[in-house]
Amino acid sequence: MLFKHKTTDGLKVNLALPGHFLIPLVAAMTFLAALMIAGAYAGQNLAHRWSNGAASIVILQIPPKNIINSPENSISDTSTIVSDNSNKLASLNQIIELLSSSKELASFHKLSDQEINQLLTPWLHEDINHFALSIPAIIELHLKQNTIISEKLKNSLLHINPDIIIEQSNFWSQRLNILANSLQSCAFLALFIVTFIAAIVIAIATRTGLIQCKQTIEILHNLGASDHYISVRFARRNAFLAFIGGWIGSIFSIPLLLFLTYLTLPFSSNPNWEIIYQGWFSFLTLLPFNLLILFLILPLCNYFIGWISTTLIVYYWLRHLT
Amino acid sequence: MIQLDNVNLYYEQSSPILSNVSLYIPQGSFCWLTGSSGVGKSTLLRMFHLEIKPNQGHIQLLDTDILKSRRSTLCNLKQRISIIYQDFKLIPNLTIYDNIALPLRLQNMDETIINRWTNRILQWMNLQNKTRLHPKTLSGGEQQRIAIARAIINRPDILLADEPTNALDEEQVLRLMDLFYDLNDLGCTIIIATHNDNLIRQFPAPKLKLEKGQIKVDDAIQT
Repeated sequence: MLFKHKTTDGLKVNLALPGHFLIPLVAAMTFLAALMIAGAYAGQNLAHRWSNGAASIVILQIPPKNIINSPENSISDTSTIVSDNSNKLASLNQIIELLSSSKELASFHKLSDQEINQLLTPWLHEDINHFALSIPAIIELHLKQNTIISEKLKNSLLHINPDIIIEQSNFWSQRLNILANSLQSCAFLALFIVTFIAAIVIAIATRTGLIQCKQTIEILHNLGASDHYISVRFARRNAFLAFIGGWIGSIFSIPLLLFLTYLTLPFSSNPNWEIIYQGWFSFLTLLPFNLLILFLILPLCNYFIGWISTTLIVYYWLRHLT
Repeated sequence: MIQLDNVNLYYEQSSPILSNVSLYIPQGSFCWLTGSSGVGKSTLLRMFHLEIKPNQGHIQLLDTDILKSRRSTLCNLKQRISIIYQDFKLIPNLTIYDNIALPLRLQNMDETIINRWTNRILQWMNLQNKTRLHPKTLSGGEQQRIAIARAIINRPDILLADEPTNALDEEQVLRLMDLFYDLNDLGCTIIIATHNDNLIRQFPAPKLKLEKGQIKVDDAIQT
C-alpha cells in the first residue's frame, strides 16, 4: 500500500518537499561532516600512534662504571680500555638478563654501535670509534602497556649500575595523547552538531511541507489513513533527497580531503609515506581504506537521518493536528 | 452502534453543543438529525466521525471506546465510518476516479477490485464519462455525487451525511435515498443531518433533534 499508490493519494510530496532547498543544505552538512570525520580519524590515529609509540618507550643509558666513577681512569691506556670493556660487558649482560626476565616489557632493543654512530654523527661530526670519550650503551625498552617503568625494575637496574640513566618520555607523550584525544572529541562533537543541525533543517522543511499539504492530509486522515502511512510518504521523499545531498557532499569533500591527506601523511605512522612524492597513483595507494568506506556510508547515514527526523516530526505534527 | 454516556461537548466562549447527553443508536438504524442552523449538527457528526473528542463523557462506536483506544485502532475504525461533508472535501489534484477509489486504496484492496467497484459506482452516479476530470471542473451537484460515491464505496458500518441532498435535483434525491435505504438494509447505520422538512416528511424515519445542548428523540429508533 505504501509504495503502490504513491501518486494517487493526492499528497504531492514532490512539490511540498522540493529538492532544490534540501539537497544543497544536506550536501553542505555532509561536506562538513566529512571533514569532521576525517579530523576525528586523524586525531584517533595520532592518539593511537602516541600511546603506542613514544609513550611506551624507555631509554636506558648505561655508562661504563669504572670510567665515570674513577677519575684516575680518565687517562686512556690499553689496560684501562680492556678493563672498561670487560666491566661494561659484565654490567650490560646483567642488565640484559634482567630485562629478558622482566614481565613488564613488550620488547627491548640494544642499539648497536652502528646505530649509535648513525644517531650521534650529526652532533659529534665524527665516528664514535674515533671519539675520545667512551659512549654509553643504549637500550630501548618497549613497555607492555602505556605505563611508567616500575620502581622494582628501576631499583634492580640501579643496583646493577648506579650510574644508569633512565629516560622515560611518557610525561610529554601523555600530554600529547590527551591533546590528541581532545582534538578527536572536538571533531566528534562538531560532527554531532552538524548531524543535529541537518536533522533540524530536515524537520523544518518537513513541517513546511506538512502545512502545505494540510488539507489533503486531513482528508486522508478522515478516510482512515494512519499516521504511519502519511509519515512514510514524507519520509521516503526526504530520505531520498538527503541521500542525494549526501552523495554530492561526499564527492565535493574528496578533493579537499586528498589535499589534507597529502599534507598530513608525513606525520602519520605509515612507514611508506615518502612514496607520496613518487606520483599520484602511489599517493592513492596510501589513502586510509577505512576513511574511504566511511564516505560511502555517509549518504546512507543521511538517508536514515532524513527518514528518522521526518518520521518523528510527522508523528508529532499529526498528533497535534487531530 | 453509537452510544453516548453523559457527553459534554462545547467550544470555548460559546453555548454547549451537547450538555450531559446519553444516547444509544443501535446498529442498522436510519435516522434524521435535525435542529436549527448553527446548533451544532455538523460538529456532532464530526464527533461521531472521530474528528473531535468530547470534553467529558464516554463514546462507544461499533463496540469501541474511542477515548480509551489507540490512534491506530481509531484509524482502522475510521475506515468503517464514512462521512459526506457539506463542502464535499474532495482532493482537488486527484481525478474523480482516484477521489472515489481512495478509501479502497487506503484499505490496501486489490487494484482489480478497486477498478470494478469504482466503475460500477461511477456508472450508478452517471459520471462514467468524467472519470479523468478533476473536481473543480464539475458542478456542485456532480461534486456532491462524487463525495457520496467516495463515502459509500467501502460499504461502511456507519454512514454520516451532512446535508447530502443540497445540490441535487429531485430525481437524484430519490435515487440517493433509495441507495441509502439499500445500504441500511445491508446493516449500515445511517444518520443524515438536514433541515429539509419536506425530505423528512417524504422519507419518514426516527428524528434526533439537537436543541439547547440536548438530543430529543422524536420517535423510537428502530433497529
